[in-house]
Amino acid sequence: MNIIDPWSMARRAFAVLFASFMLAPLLVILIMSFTNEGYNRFPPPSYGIRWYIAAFETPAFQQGFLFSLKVAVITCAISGLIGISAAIGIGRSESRWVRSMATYVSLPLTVPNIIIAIMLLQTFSRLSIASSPYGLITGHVLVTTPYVLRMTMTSLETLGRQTELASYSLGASWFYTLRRVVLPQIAPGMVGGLLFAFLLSFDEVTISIFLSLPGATTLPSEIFGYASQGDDPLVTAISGFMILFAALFVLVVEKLFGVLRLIANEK
Amino acid sequence: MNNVVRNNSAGFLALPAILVVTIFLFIPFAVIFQNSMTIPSEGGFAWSVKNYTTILGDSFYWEIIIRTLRISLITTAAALLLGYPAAMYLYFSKSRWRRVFLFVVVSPLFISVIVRTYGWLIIFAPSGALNAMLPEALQFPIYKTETAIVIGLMHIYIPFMVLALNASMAKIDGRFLSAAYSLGASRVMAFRDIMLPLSRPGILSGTIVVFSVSMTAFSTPVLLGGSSNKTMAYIIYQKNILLANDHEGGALAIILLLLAMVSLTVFNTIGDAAARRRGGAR
Repeated sequence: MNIIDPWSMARRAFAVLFASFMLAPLLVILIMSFTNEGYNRFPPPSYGIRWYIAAFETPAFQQGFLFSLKVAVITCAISGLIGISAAIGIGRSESRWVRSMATYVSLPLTVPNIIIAIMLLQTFSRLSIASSPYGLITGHVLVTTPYVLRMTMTSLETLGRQTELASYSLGASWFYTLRRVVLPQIAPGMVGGLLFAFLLSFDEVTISIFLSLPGATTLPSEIFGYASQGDDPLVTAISGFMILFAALFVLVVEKLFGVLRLIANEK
Repeated sequence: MNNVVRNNSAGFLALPAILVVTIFLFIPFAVIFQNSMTIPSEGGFAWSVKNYTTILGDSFYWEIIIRTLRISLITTAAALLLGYPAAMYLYFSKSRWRRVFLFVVVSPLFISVIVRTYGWLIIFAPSGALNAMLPEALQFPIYKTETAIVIGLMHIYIPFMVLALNASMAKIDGRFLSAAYSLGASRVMAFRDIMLPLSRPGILSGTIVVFSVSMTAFSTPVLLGGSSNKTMAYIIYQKNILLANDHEGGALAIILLLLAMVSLTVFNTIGDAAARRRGGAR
C-alpha cells in the first residue's frame, strides 16, 4: 500500500471535491454571515456579529422563529401520538390487512409537497378555516407521521416478542405489558421518530409558504420572502443561525443515537 | 405459533393515523379535482373541462412544462453521474475518512432547503462568491438561469441518490469482484459486468426519487431561476396564491401530478427493459 496507486489517488481527489461541493453553500453562508460591512462581499473585508444582532432584532424573524417552534412542537405531538399508536397496532398484528396499513399511512410521502399544499389550501379555504396554523399543521402531520411510524416499527421489529411473551406468561395484562415492557424498550425508535418529525416540520418550506398567512408565518417562509428580493446580509445572518441551530440538533441526535445509523443504516 | 397471546385486536390503534390520511389526503384531492373540473358561472359553478383545455392549448404553458421536464432530467442525470462515484467511494473505502465523507453527504439533509438554496443564491448573485473568486475575464452570468436551478436542485437532492445507491451496493458481495479480478477481468469489465448490473435497483430508486422531487420543487427554482425561468411549481404558486384562481390552479396541480406519475412509469419501464435485455443477452 506504499506504492502510489493512481486509482486510489483519483478516488481520494474525487471524494475531496465532492465533499467541498456539498459543504460550499453552507460555508459561504457561515463566512458571509459574519461580515461587518453593510453589503455582501466575498470574502468579507471585516468580521463581526452585527448582522446576527440585526436579524435577532427583526420582528418578522422573531415571530417566524417562535411560530415555527410552535408548529413543530404541535406537529410532533400529533404525529407522535397517531404514529406511535399506529406502529404498535400494526407492528404487532399478524393480519396481512392490518400490516398493509403501514403503506397506506405512508401514502402522503408519495404525493409531492406542493400538491399537498394546494389540496389543503383549497380545502381549508372552502371550509373557511384559516390555512395557518390549521392547514399548515395538518400538512406537516401528513408528511411527518410516516417517519414516526416507520422508525417506531423498526424498533419494534428489532425488539422481537420474547420479553412480551414472558410478561404475558407471568400473568401481566396487555396494557401493563405495553406500558412496562414494550414502550420502555422501543423508546429510542420513538424518540428518534419524534425528533425527526420536529426537525422536518421546523425545516419544511413548500407547505409553509403556500399556507402561511400574515402574522402566522414560519421562519423558512419568512426567509423565502426576504430571499426573493435578492441577497441581503440580514438573510445571510438568519440562514447562518438556521445552520447553527441544525448543527446543535445534529450534535444532540448524534450523542443520543448516531446520525449515520438513523439515516444510512450504519452501525 | 404463539396462539396464546395473539393480539390482533390491537389493530384499532392504527385507526387515528388511517383516518387522518383518509380525511386529509382523499377529501382534499376530491376538492381540487372538483375545482379543476368546474368554472364559475351565474350563481354557482358549472362542470367543464375548460381549465384543462385553456392550459393545454396555450404554448406559454407548454414551454413551462418542457422546461420543468428538462430541468428535472438534467438534474437527475447529473446527480446520478456525480452520486455514483460518491457511492463507490463509500463502498470501497476502508479508511477512517469514509465516515467523515458519509457525514458530509448526509448532514445537509438536516438543514432547511431554503437555507441550502440561499447558499447558492449568494454564490451565484452578481456580487456573489463565485464572481468574486473568478478573474474578470472568466466571469459569466449564472444568476437567474436554468443552470443555477440545476446546480441548486442537484446539491439539495444528491444525498437521496447517494443513499439509494449506497443501500443497493451494500448488498453486493465483494467476493464477486475479487473473483472477477482473479479471472483476469479489467477494472472496466468488473464495473460494467458486476457493479453496474448489481446496483441497478439503487440506480432506479435514486433516479425516481431525485426526478420527482426536482420536478415538483418550489423554492429552489423560484429563488435561483427567477421569473424568466418559470417552472410548473412557479405558475402553480402564481395561479393559486397571487391570482387566487382555484379552478385553473387546481387543474395545473393535477397536470403536474399526472406528469410526475407518467414520468415515473416511463422510468420503471426503462428500468425493467434494461434488466430484461441484460438477462437475455448473458
